Amino acid sequence: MQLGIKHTYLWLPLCLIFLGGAVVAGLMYGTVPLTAAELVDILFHPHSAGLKSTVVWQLRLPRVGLAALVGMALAVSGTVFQAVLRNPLADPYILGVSGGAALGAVLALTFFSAQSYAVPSLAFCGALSALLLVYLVARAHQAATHTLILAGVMVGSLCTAVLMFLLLYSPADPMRNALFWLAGNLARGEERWLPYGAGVCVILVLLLWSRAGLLDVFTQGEDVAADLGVDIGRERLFLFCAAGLLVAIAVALAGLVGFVGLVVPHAIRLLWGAGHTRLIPAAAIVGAGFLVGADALARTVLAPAEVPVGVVTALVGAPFFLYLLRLRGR
Amino acid sequence: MHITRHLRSILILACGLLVAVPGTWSSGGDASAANLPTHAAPITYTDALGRQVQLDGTPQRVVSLVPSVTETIYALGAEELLVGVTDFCNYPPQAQDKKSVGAYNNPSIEAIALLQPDLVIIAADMATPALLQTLLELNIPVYSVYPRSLKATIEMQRNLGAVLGYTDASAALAFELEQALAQLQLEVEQAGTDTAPRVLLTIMLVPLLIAGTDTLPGEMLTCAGGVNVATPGSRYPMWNMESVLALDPDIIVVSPHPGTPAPRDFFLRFEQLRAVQQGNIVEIPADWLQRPGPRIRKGLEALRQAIKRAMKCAMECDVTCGETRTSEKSDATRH
Repeated sequence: MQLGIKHTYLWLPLCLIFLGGAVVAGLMYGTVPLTAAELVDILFHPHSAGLKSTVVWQLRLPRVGLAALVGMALAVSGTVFQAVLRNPLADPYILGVSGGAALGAVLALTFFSAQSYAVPSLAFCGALSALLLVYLVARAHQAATHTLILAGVMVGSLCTAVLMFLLLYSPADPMRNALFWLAGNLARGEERWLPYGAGVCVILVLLLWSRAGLLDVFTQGEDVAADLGVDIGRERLFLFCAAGLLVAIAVALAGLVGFVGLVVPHAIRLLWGAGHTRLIPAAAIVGAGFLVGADALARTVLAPAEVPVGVVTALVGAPFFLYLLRLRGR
Repeated sequence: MHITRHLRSILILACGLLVAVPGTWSSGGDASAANLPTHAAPITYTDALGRQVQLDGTPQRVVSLVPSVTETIYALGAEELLVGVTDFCNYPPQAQDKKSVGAYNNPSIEAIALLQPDLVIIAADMATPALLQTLLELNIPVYSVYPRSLKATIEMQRNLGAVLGYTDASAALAFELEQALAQLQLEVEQAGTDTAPRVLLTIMLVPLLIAGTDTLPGEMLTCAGGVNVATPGSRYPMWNMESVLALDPDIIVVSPHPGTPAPRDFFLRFEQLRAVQQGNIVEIPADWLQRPGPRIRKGLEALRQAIKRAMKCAMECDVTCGETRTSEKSDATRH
């Protein structure tokens, strides 16, 4: 009985119910109290005036959308990195993407702080540059797993060192902004970028899903993959670039939101097994729902004040994950 | 033969030491020479950390690691005592011509030592025990300040005057601030508290950081006759726009930063905000509100002006538009 849902087709409805519940919670809860009836009324009358309508349409909906997008991107890229690198501790930031993005954001905050688009665009460029550097190093050796990991960690360290140096020489205000940026924040999302980010992310997730069989082979080990005639180096580079791009988009939109990308894939594996045909869509949906729900909680617990969303994801997610681990084991 | 050679080298070394030691002393000699007349008796002060600070007379070479202290020293007219400041000491502008010893939370010990100060002034909340210990091991007296409230700011002005030998100037400075506060209190009492505008004090816009009641800007707001919309608890809580819309303050105070040069625009897109409708998004420089120096009088004045204007607005609005606005607001959001 206990979680005996592994081999049924219940996973999809369950995931969708989880996401739906999180979205409803994200739209209903906040500083302004709303009842379910009011929410339905507001959603069916998009152009009505009034405080509650503004709050739902202008503030909560974009934020729920951003949280869902970031949660999905991080969970899927985490899944891919864990499979390709065959490392349970791999998270979306393992390949130095976080360091590159942070460096870009701090550069933007220090030198182009007047332009609101500077931070996401430079963070994105920074993430891509870090990825490119790791790629150039790793390509030389057929992108061997340990080369990728070590190159990623080194690029990350390099970025952190430059970042710390910059922070020493930047005035107080950009530094303060940068520290908040590094903590991850869903309030700051650039609404006009959201549709583009969503479009690219969905395409990347579908692309990665189409390689689900390949990911299954990778988890069996490289020799198995080679025996099956897979061009390991090329495929690994493709997977790595697609997943890296997903992270870069997530980071550019919301800063460094932790924990989602590490734990959601593991939780799904514990619940429904490691087959990637099911794992990738399930991770995408649950990752989105998890971050939306965590953000709703973060906005409500101390209202009108807010708790950093990273605190909530870890506080809620870690105990649940430990429970799953105790129940199922690895 | 060997012995004489050793002896010779030892003698040379000793001579070198003899020459070198007075040399190092004399390089700081001009300062200590100026100190000599006041050497009469060491005076002991108690600083903000509760430490006993013993000074041999009035200090002549002071390093200030606190921007508000730097401002206060200039306001006292004691700037010729000041030999070192921090990168953050940007007011008055001529303070930037003084030698900087680095950031105020992480100054360079070597840069401080090089200035040969006879007093270093630190902020109690910024000084790590290690920094304090290192300075004391270098035999540099350290005096700490901790101006977290208006009362503590006035006290700091008096104490600095006493330590630096500018008691008259500091008494005048402190008296001016006390006078201003008394004047404000009188004005606020006359105006009554039932019409006091509700004010949001923003520290930073992205993310939205708010000054709570238990902060220097919060205390200044109360003195100027405003009611802080922030709930008690965290000193500088993080908010979101939804909370601002829900609590709909009468006045929103913003501070331009290099990072946000036009902070007013951040709120203008929410037309339903009362403060936007009535034009009560007020720009006040952050240093007037957040830095416990002499310019907090300007901050108090700016807050008072904004509050008076909002009260006038509210009265005019009551006459012209009656209760149209209050009807669309639910009671829940007012509290």
